[in-house]
Amino acid sequence: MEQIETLRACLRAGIGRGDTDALLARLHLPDALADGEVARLVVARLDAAEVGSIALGGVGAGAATRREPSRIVGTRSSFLMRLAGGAEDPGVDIALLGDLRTLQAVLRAGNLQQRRAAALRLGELLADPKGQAAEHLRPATHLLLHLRRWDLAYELSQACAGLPGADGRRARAGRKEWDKLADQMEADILRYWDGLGEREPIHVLHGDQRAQLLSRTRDLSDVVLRHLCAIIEGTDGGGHAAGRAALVHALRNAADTRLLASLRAVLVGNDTELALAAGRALARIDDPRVQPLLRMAYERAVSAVERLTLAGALGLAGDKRGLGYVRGVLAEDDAALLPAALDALRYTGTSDDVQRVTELLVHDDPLLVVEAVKSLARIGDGRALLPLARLRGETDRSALRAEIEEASIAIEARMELLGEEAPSVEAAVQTFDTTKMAAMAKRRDPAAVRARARWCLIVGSLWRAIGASMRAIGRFEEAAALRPDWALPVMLVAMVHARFEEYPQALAAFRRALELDRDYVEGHSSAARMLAQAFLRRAETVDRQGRSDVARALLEEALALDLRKAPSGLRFALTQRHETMRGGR
Amino acid sequence: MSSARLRDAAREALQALGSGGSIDGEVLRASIEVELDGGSELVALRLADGAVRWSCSCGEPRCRHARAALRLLAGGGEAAAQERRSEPSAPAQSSPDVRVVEPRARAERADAEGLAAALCDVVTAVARVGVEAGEAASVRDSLRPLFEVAPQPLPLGISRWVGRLKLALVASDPGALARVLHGASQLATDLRMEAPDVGARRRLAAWLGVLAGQAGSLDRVSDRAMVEVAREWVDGVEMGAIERRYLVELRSGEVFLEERLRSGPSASLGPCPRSLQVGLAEVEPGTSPRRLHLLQYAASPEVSAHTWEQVGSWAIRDWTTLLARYRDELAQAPGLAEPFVVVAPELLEVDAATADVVDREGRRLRLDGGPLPAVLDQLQALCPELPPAWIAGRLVDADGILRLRPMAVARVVGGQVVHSVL
Repeated sequence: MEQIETLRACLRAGIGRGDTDALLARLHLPDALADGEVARLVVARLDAAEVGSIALGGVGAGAATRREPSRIVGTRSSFLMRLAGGAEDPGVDIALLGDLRTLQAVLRAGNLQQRRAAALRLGELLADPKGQAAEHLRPATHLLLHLRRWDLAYELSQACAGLPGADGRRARAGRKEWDKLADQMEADILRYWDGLGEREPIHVLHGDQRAQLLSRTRDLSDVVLRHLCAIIEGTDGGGHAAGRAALVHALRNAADTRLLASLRAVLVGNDTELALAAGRALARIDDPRVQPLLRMAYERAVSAVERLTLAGALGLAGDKRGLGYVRGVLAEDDAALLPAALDALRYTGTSDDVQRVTELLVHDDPLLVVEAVKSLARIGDGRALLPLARLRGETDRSALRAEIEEASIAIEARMELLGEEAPSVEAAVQTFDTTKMAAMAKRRDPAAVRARARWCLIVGSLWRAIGASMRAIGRFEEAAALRPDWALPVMLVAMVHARFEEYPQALAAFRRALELDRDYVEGHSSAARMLAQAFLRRAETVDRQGRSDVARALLEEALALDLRKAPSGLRFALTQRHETMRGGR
Repeated sequence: MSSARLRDAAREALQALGSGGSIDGEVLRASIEVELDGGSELVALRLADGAVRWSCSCGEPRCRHARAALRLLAGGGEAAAQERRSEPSAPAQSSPDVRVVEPRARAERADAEGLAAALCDVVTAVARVGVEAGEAASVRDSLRPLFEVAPQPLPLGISRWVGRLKLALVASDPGALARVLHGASQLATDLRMEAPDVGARRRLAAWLGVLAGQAGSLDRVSDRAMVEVAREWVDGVEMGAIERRYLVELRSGEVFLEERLRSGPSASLGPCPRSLQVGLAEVEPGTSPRRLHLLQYAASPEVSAHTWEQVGSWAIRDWTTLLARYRDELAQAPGLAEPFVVVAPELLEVDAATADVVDREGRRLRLDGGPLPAVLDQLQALCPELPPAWIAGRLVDADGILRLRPMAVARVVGGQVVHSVL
């Protein structure tokens, strides 16, 4: 044993270091041996000893860390974060939600896993709508039938197939057509591998046929799936490089774990464009292997476009470590990289990025503007509503107007789930104009910027003291725009809203402040009191509106905070209300 | 004619065996070796859809070897005469599903002494600085002469060895480093042997492949049914440079390895998993799993449940056998051996820190996710209640414990065995 340790130590530090003669003596080797011979003997002996000591594992034998480090999660524990698929320890299972309005909101505003689950749950409830209020059935059915989201095509088709009446019959007829196409494809693939078909069968499909086939990839047989894997890896014998790339792109929303191994092989391959397409496809597969794979690829990525694309993929898969890099690229304002940065921000961005993205709504490049709109939709912050509304009024491009409408609906849905409401037009105008000016001012001397931020805070406090809430909010928002990492002005915005009992708006601002500096907000006694009160009052209001899921989630979010600085009566009221609601579940 | 001699000999042998009653079976497939012009080729024939399809190792669809084999089956005499009289109008009946692979260009012969010296220099340079120095400049400098003197294109064994060396240095693992360097040192010794023994020849083939002029040392296999159970990319000189496909031969349970460089020519076609009818293949006489080069084969993405059951029938169920085999292979080919096995556990036990499979005697084999620990989460998700029917993967060791790095799992679903890649 001692000899083995000596050998290990020797190979760890190197035989060229230290006292070679002493080493030779310890190993009972003749002195004056050449380094090469010493090396040969040391490695042979150590290897033999190591091989001889290999054993089977016993219980507790060998420390083994099996789990990957937990993915990065936000510090907030809002309703959306706690829905199954949105947090490590889900508090609310979407499959058990019974409120059609909440499910519709999740379908519009949740992350990908949440939206998939919401679509399926809506389908279940609408298939047997007993007990559902009639005025809620029609909009829910309409949403399922008309939501044009290709990333949800599979779940939407499953949900629609269960609908009663003509809608369900149409969906089931569509399914039958798909079954015929899939069966024919399987037969063609087997013929191809039997040498009886000359052309590779996927390649000969028209684009819309291929899209139709792949819309239900998860229902394809193993034979068809394996053939797709052969094409992805380039081992199908068809030799169509362009076809291979087209297929990997087309499989972006397939979300089938059977594709994972082949996509992984491409992800680490030499073809960058193919690798990035594979990364996007992997991000949409709900599998524990995806995040570590994307993480490895991200850390190895060299070019900016690769890093941005993989940052977005990683964000979609639940890991937002690339956000800092994405923000850095956005700050540099490189026109060539902005589209990729905005795409990545869609899956990594937070409320702190709203200001920067709204600045891009007036960009010359119309495609970039569309990307900015999509990013704002995903971030879901209510401050984006006014600039989006303005843009909608100014543009004559109908496609852009459609994107803006969808984005506004998504943002409002997200706010609804969080118990928030859009600010008043007057407040929104104040915020929008001041932040726009602040964004321009920020590009000047940092010391001057900080001084100006302090000045805005002082002026805002004066306005607040005399009750001019709109002006106070404007100044505080300007200070926050000048110094985005400063929690105090944002917290003061929240407190102004709370003072005037504008609890939905107060919630939104408190959440922003907590993200910036949770300890500071929780440690501020006035803020803690107003924060607790805002959550409680808003939960009561939402509950009266029949949205008990959202109400309960608001209470749980509040109770997850450190409210020791809040009055004990408020804390008690929160706890009581929560227990009452849980008991009534 | 030689066909007549074989027929006559067959007739005599049948008479010696006796009548044996009526024989209801049907011959569907045959392999016939035909000697012509001083060389011999193998013709594989099979009956499909009422027609006979064939392929010949010479690669020609309508060759004389195929004619001779067909003549034998057709019975000669009148059939042969008809053949001479008939117009050659029938198109070539070569099997449409059989794919032919061009034999790859063999690496030039190695400069044995130069290679041995370069390997020794690498061992010395790395051991001098130790594993804590990582990939020091002196280590990189010592590899350059190795690449210059190695056969071109760089043999897969050497590429993989370089990958393992880098991994050991990154991991700062003196045990892993010792194994890799011992392997290089052993290879140097083998290269310097005047008359390499069996073990040395196997190692040389595993390291260097079969070089130009050594084609005679290859084994040939024909007419085999195989199934690819797993596929992986491992590090060589570059990250993820080597693709490995693990094929189980259903008749014997032996695992073969189809291996290629990512930047090299494509190997056989088809996804993983796939079933293979191997008409002809060459096998290198190396370490297990032996490297196989498919020359004529038919592949299909369709793999029956019965095939997976057959794989499972060859699975190892006793972990002491695994351990003995692993130690033996490492001792035989240090720095190179990476055994691939199929195991059939009694239990799968997973907790927060570890995952083990347990054999019928309660012995534990640790599972190791390698660079992707989440593989074990996926394995657990696929087998939440019942243990898997079998697991295929590579054997490794760490901290003195034997481990299995799982790559594929078979489980029983609805009474049938279903395969999943991990």
